[in-house]
Amino acid sequence: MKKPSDKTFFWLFRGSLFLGTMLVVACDLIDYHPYDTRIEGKHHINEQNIGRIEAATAGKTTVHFVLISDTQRWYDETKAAVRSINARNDIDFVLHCGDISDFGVTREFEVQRDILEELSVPYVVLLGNHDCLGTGADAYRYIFGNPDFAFNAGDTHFLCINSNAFEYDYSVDIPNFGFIRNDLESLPENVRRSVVAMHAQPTSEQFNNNVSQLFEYEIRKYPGLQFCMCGHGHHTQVNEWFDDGVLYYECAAAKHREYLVFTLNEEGGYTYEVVEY
Amino acid sequence: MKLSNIRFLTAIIALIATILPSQARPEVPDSLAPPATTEIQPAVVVVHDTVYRYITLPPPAISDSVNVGGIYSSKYEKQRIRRQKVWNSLIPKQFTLQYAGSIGMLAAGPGWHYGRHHWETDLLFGFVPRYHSEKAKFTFTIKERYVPWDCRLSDTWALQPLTAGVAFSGISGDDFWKNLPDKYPSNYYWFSTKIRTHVYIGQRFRYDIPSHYRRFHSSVAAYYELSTCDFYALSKYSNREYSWKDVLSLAFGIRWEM
Repeated sequence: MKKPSDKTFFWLFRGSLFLGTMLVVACDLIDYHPYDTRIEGKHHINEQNIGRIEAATAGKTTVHFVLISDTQRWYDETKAAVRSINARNDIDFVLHCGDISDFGVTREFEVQRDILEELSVPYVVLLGNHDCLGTGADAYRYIFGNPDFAFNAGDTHFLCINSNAFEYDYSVDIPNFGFIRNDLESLPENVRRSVVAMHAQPTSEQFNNNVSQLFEYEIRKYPGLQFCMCGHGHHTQVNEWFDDGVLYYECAAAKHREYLVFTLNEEGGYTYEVVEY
Repeated sequence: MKLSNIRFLTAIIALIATILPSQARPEVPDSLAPPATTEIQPAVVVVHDTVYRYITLPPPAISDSVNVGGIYSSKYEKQRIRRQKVWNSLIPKQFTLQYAGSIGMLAAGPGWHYGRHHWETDLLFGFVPRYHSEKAKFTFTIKERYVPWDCRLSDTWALQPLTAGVAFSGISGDDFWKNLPDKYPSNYYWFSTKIRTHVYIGQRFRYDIPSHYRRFHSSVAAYYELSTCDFYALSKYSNREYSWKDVLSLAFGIRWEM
């Protein structure tokens, strides 16, 4: 075989230098498939953050928290929301009512997680209907945890329940009444009021409206039920669906640059404000 | 003898040689040899840079048939050769193995090049491990590529400084749909979760195997490609602060030309 010329070596040298530089950047750019669920970094976040919330609010009788929702593919707005929340110093935690991704794509979960990780307070994220697309629900389970969860902040109990029955063809127990019953039975004694959060509220096409009356009946068993929170509708609204005094607060999507701040006060009541950022 | 005389003689000999081509015809086995009465000239077809020499085949083995117009002049033979050319063009001319690039952890498959080596089509079958999902997935990708330049670095090495193209990729599994399932109201989700469209640019470094070392391939090329898919591009389009590293996807690959 012919001996390679000097010119060849020159090109080989330049080529390998270039490839070397590329390899350094490469690791971040390696993507097997948008739906590959190959996730790096922090995972099972809800469980960890619940621990932080419960520790930080233990013994408190006043709780301040922020409700955000539907941040899918509005990364700039989500970042602005995080900056706005970090600028306050009265918040105990942030509750995200679902639709953290738009397509259920793995990178969306990672990017949104990394934005929310910038929060100076702990946060929890619910499962939205967009998060169920493709392998989204699997990515959600790995990064955030079980879509049904509950925690206590001070003297207030928070039930966060998956309500996207339509995405699962009503074939699995959504909303999970078994989880609600177990949760009710294991409530700590110091709980004097409760708040329920879900992605899609009763009457929405995602909710299993065949059991919406039953759902309302079950959640009203919670001690001192204050109100319910949801997202999905993309507009800030307050509705009372069952003429029973239980209000459903819907938080706007991130594109409207609004979030809700709730204050559960010492007297046992609550106030809320809509913050534009 | 004078030099000019030698040249003159050589020219004469060459002229005689061209006039008498039948003298130089190679020996063929008896079974393949055409009947002595038929005049058969080996046909040479030149397709841009490659020379194909058609093997002269005997006429149909029907003993009592009459071959009037010669072996290639019959309608049947012309049609037969055309049909063979069409089917021959379907034989893959290259094979690709790719790592990453949003079409599977590994994807491999046959391909074709055409249009003076400027255009290529690859069919890649890929595999995505399950990671945190319920099961592993398979992908099927059609890649179209345009290669505008081929820069020769030496006798055996060449650089293709730009490759660019588009790819359509599908993924297996019940979790993905091409068209919105009937259960949803129309336009509930406007996108397909099954089919992704990718665009990419890249570079390729090729080694042309010297002909006496060739076994199965005539060249081996290593390439990389930077791609983005519709979902990632859209995320960048509507978000200034969305990082480029979440838009781009890098692939490495090897291409064997056959």
